[in-house]
Amino acid sequence: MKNAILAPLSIALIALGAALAAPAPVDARPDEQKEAEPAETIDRLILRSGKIVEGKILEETETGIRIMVVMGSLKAPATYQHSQILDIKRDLPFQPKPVASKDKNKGKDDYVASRSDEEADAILYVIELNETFGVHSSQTPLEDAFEAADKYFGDLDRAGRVPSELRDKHLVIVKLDTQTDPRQGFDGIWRTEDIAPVVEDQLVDKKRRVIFWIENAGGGASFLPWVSPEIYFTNDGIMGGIGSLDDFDIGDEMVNEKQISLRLGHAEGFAIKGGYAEIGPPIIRAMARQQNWLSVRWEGGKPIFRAAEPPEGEGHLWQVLTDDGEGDNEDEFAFKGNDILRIDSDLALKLGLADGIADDIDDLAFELGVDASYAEVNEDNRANKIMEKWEEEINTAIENISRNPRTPGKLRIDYSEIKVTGSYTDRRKARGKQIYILKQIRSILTRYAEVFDPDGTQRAQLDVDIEIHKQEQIADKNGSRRGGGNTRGGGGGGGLPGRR
Amino acid sequence: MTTTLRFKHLAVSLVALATLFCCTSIASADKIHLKDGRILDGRIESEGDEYVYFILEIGAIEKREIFLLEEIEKIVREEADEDDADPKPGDDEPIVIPEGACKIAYITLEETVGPYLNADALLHSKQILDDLPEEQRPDIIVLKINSGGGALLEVGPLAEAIHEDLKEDYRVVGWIESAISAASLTIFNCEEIYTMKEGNVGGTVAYSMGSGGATAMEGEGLERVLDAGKEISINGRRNPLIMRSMQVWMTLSCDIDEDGNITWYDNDSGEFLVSPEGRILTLNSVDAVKYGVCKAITDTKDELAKALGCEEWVEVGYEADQYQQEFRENVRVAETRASELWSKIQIALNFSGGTKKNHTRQIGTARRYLKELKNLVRKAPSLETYGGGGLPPLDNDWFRDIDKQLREMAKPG
Repeated sequence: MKNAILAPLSIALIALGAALAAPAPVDARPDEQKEAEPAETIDRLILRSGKIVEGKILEETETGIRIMVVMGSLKAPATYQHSQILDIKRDLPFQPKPVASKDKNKGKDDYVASRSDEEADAILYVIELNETFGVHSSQTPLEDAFEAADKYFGDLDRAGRVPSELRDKHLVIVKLDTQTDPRQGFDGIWRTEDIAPVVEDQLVDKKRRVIFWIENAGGGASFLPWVSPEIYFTNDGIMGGIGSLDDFDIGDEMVNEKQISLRLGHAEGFAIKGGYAEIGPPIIRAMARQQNWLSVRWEGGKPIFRAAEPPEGEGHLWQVLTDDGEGDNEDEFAFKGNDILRIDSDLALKLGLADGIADDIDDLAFELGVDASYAEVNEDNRANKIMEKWEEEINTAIENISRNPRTPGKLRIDYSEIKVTGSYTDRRKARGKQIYILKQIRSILTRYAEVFDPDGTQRAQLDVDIEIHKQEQIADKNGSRRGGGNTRGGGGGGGLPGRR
Repeated sequence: MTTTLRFKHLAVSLVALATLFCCTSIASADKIHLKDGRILDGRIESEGDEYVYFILEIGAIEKREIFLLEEIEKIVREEADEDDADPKPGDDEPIVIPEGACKIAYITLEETVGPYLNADALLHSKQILDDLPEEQRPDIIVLKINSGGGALLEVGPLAEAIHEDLKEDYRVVGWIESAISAASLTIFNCEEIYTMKEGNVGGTVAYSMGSGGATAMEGEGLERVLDAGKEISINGRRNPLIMRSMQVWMTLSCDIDEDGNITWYDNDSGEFLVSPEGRILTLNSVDAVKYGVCKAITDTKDELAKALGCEEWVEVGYEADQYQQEFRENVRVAETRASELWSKIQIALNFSGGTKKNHTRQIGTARRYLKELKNLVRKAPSLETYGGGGLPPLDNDWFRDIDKQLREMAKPG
């Protein structure tokens, strides 16, 4: 196992979060500070995200800069990767900032309900996607959720765009703790292709900043954040679960390679679209196939990738992110080692995929550079109510129409328990009930077609089943008129050839 | 308003549509409020005791859907009124074309090559453009492609349509959202190709699917497909090695000089290894531009127009793309319904026993379904070649044969 030499970068940021949450300042009061350090200078980091961080640089390494960040009267260390930094200004004269308008002792709930939050420098509208991606979150509720956010902000101009002066103020955060059905593996990407346009519509057409905040983005859900140029991770955040492409097998090696190749083409498209043209494709290829190597070295803080082992004699210059998992390189647990690349928060930050790490909304606000005065939309957050309602409805639908033989849906059980026996009237009633249940199932499938029956084949089959019951009923009726009992199945007719 | 009147109004509108050619489509006449909160615009086609057949209008697309009454909160019926119609692309607003502006027509090519992305349909769109008044006729046709491939059978006719018909009369530009397999062969006929950021092109291995799984094409068949790839590459003035590395396993590398000229190698001797042995090439947008398959990445029509050298441009010939959209919708409806109608024919036959009256009635029902299927195929003529819903090519011979069998069954004895 050629394991990575990942530095525990998150520690500094955890410390930073803790410092922010602490009730008492860790350093001197502003007045004292002024007296004690009258001639102090500061360093300024201008980040690619547009955020400006001021403080004293403590340490510079090959990969990043550790800086004691000054936030009003507080100081805390933080580490930024070179890939995050656009420019460094050193030894600037220190000018204390005016005290921020937000009272940090106030709870988040103090900012909700009224639109007094307009006084804040930024309003964070968080939409949470949980449970199974593509099922419990899907394009319809997500579209509705964004619409709710649009309505809350009420900021779209006549062209349907967020005016430029509000783009840094009205922010939508999509928090991901979700993954597609693990059985889909990489092919969860097709559900993401259905859902991603909803986010792209916000980013591209409405010019709204949509920021992804990743706790878990698994399977197909791991492709979604790439469409946005702004991604944050929680400390335990993880992105992955798509390393199944080497297992793809439909019976012919060359056809397998075709299928793998076209899937990667689609996946890389997500990354390029979001502005990750340089880092996206090599990372995704390494995440998707066990046999793919990915090594990285740093030049001016920028990652330089190599889709192979480090060159002989240069091992010390390179970091192996993932090996081929063959022979000595095979990990004991495939999903814990580096046979398949999964992106954790440290790596995401290092590679420039993530803009920062944040465990709570305060951390995130800080990382976004709006911590001085921000409000989170809480009670008025209709979007999350929409997502929760959809989740509940989907769970109810599954309870009713599941075709899983081990846990069949209630309606399926009811249908299977109907016995078409007894008198003609009993049989007619029984068939009426069968048809009624099939129509109920059909109705649920129609309502949640994007999840359960996107191509309509299940509903077409139900229509056929309903037709059969109707015909059975007619045949039974004709048989009854002739005085005979149950004539289920009609009879005597012939089929036609024709279906290939 | 009665159904009869509504249909009469509809008929009048359709006559107007046919006469004015680029005039308005019919305004939404009815609204359905569903219990799930959705409000759908369209028109009610027919109603039963428990259901409503509704023609949904989504932009220029019409889609037929059935709703159970239990799904419906309420129905609002309105008089269809052409004057209230939302202006749509191609409506009778005068098109103002500034002098010197490029006239660009966009034609979307989507879904499965063969039934949906179809040469005859493309030629029909071209004819629509040819028939426009000269001042509205495009200088440039952009073929915007988004397809995962499909039937090899259609690749030849599409190559002919693009290379010999479209390019003969217009400057033809490809614009890739996704062009996989047969779709990559289609777009490679264009000399000028641009790609969207998410674009991809390649994965062109020809194969068949059987009960034992997939089998890549071999032997003479493969040689013919490789020859087609070569010919199409020449049509688009690209090195045939690029397409070949999308079709079969081969090593592909290249050198790029300081002027951007690319020299290709069918081995790994070039500076850039584009496709290693044992892999099939699909290019993402960045690589497609880097290796000269596409000229640039453009995400919007405006960006594309500028890249084409059109500082000022107008979009013309909406009708050509509207036809493509309607064509695809018709195929979709026909494909979905074909399977269902065929099943219903079989059910009718299975229940045709018993009395003579029942037998006659069921055969009549089966023939009625067959007629419905034929009407659907008439609007989706590509199914005559490709079939749909698991059925073989639904051509006249097939319909004649099935109808003959049904008539035979209907005879006494």
